[in-house]
Amino acid sequence: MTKWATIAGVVLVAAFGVLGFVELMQSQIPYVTSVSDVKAAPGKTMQFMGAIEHNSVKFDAQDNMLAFDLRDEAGQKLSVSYHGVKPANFDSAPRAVVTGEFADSAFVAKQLMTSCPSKYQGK
Amino acid sequence: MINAVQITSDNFPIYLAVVFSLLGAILYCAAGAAARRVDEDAEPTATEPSSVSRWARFCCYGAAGSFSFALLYLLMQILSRARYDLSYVYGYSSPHDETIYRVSALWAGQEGSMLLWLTLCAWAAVLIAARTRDRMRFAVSFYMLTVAVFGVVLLISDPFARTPDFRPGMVGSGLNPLLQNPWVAIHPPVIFLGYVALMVPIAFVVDAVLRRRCGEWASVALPWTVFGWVCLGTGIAMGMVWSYEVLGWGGYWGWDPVENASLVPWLISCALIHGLLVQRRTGRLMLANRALAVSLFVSIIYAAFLTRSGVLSELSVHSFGDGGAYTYWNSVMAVVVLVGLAIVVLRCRGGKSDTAPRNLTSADKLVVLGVVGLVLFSIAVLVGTSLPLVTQTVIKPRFYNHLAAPIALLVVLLTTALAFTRRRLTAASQLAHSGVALLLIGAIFSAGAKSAGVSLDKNGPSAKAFGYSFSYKGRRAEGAGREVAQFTAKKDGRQFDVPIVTRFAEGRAVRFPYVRQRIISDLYVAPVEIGSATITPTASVREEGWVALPAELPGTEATVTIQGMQVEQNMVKLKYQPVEGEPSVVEAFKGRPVEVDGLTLEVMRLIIVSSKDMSGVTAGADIAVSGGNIKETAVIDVSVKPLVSLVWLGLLLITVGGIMAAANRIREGSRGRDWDSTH
Repeated sequence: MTKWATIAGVVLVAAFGVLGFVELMQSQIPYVTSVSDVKAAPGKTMQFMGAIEHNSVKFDAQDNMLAFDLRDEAGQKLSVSYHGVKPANFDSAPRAVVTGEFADSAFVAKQLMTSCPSKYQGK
Repeated sequence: MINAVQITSDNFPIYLAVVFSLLGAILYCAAGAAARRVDEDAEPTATEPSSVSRWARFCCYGAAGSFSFALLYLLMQILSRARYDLSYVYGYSSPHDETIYRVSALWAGQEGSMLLWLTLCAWAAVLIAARTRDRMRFAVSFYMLTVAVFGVVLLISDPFARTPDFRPGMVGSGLNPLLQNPWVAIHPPVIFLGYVALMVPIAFVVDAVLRRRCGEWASVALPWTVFGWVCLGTGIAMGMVWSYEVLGWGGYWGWDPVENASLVPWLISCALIHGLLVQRRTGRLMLANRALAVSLFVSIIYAAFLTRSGVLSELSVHSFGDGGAYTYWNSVMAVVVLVGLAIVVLRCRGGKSDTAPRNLTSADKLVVLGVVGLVLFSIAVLVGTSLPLVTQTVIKPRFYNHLAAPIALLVVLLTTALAFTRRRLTAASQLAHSGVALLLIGAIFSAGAKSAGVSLDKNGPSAKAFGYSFSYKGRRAEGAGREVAQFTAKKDGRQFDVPIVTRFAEGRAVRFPYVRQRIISDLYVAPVEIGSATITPTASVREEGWVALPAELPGTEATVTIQGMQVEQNMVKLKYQPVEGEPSVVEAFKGRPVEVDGLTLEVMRLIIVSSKDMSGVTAGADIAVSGGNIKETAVIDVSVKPLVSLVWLGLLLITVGGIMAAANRIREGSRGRDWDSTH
């Protein structure tokens, strides 16, 4: 290999490594699975997964606001409000993952996800 | 703890197949060792097959035959609509599903898809043996060993396990309606075909190391790598189309762990193809390509581990329900990584290459830089996908987007620079590379799409979004289990229908987005909430009498209450509490609306759900309420996505170019160039 190619390669790898590290540090969100942990850190962006309480789901068409409860493994409930599109399989999904922050009495979700339907297992 | 399943008349072929695979691996290894002693330094020649070789080949066919038998047997049980006593058939198919979705139920679940994967693997072993004319016996041995090791997964989670508490007359609830789409129906087999082919290069590396002919494997592995790469890419593309048209996530790629898990092997195989081409031309990069082939294998096993062991779907530390398979996958992963490292690190003696090492031309150097870029990006995706498993954090998609950008730029620059060198690309290669460029342009433009929520009343005033004015016309039932909400959109004086389809299954509604695909931009309408004036009271059929059911009618100013219901054949009895006065009992029939108190109640659909644990049967109904002061509202999320067409066109070009390249390489291999070029 000639010199320029080696230098280009090394620079590329180093630059990408630095960029990757910086991005990684800035893109991490804590993943929380218990409601008490969510409530312990209000105002902090985090991700939470819980079982959807399907009979708690309410939708306000005027404000385009979806509200529902998620239950953690200990059975504690967390009220979630979400402004945006309801995922197609929300009504049939056992669990949902929300990203956002806890404010006042409810979790304000910026992102709402349900697990991929191909990953459901017949139980 | 590993719970081995019992041998039954149903799963017997699987046991047989695993035993055949293991025996085949051992016998091929023995035959390979014997051959190595005979012609340590001689040219490999097609000698008379020894009896060990014959038995080895018999086992190879035996494994492929047994797996195929088991697979076809499972398919027949699904198609027969009679074997709902089998848990898999019960869980993924119903007598009402269309035939193609009863066929695709075969790979909709964990066990069935694993069986399909291994069947394809077993036939690949047969093909490796045939194409190398039984000269690369260690390769076949290694591949069959892999099949045997993963075959054990089927012995832990048995595709022929019985339905717990099965009672005659029970039928399955069918395939998840979201999976009832042609794209996703054929997506898993195509992906598996890719994985199966991409697991082959490492087998040739093992063979080359053991036979001390380290330069030999590049030409033999190239057709498999190109074929696997195009299959995996096509499979991923099918998944993208599906998630765009069906899931309503609004996009075609979400950096979801499952997507990432399949992207990593695709990136590495892409790097390996380029590395192998350079190795064939110049006799260099031998160590790098060995490392790539091994990483490719490890990344495939890792992808299988991520999607199958349950780590991802739960992502929580406590929820590995089915411990047996998880523990097994974990140990397999550890062994695979160690063995892989050993193969790379082992000094390959007799490292003669196909051709005497030559200096890299400037075109070669560009290709090598590209390989470095691909490897870097695959490492980034791997880290982003794996880190959450260790640190209890989540990686935002921006991590991938920000890292993909420089690599995309690099790939485009390198490809452009290649045009200025003396290297002439084949037509296949030109197609695939221009496809990559189009894909990247489309991805950059469509990523900037904004969306807006639009709230509409039935037959009410229209609302504007992105230059379109939308109005809502109401819903109509369309056959069993299907409903269409009709919207219209108008732009520049031209009006068109925007139907939003809802499918009902297992008592729940699944809504599909509407996509109007145009070259410049797509109109994407995702349902948020439709027909809020539907009440869905449910009750356990076992309970006698009226069930207290305060189902409020939404949209009314006064609270109107359904106090209870009874479900009889084709009919729902509702105890209805008007705003004033005594409650009255209404008999609502399907397809025959009844009027009460100025309101029209219509049973859209009766739901009878037998819960899987057999604790009881729940009945319910979707009842549409209209008239009076009830407003039927619908909320849709509208977005205009520019240049998604370029993404699809790019993927198409990559696929077509890839298929052409694979065909060329396979033909080249069949003509015996695999061998001629090595000597």
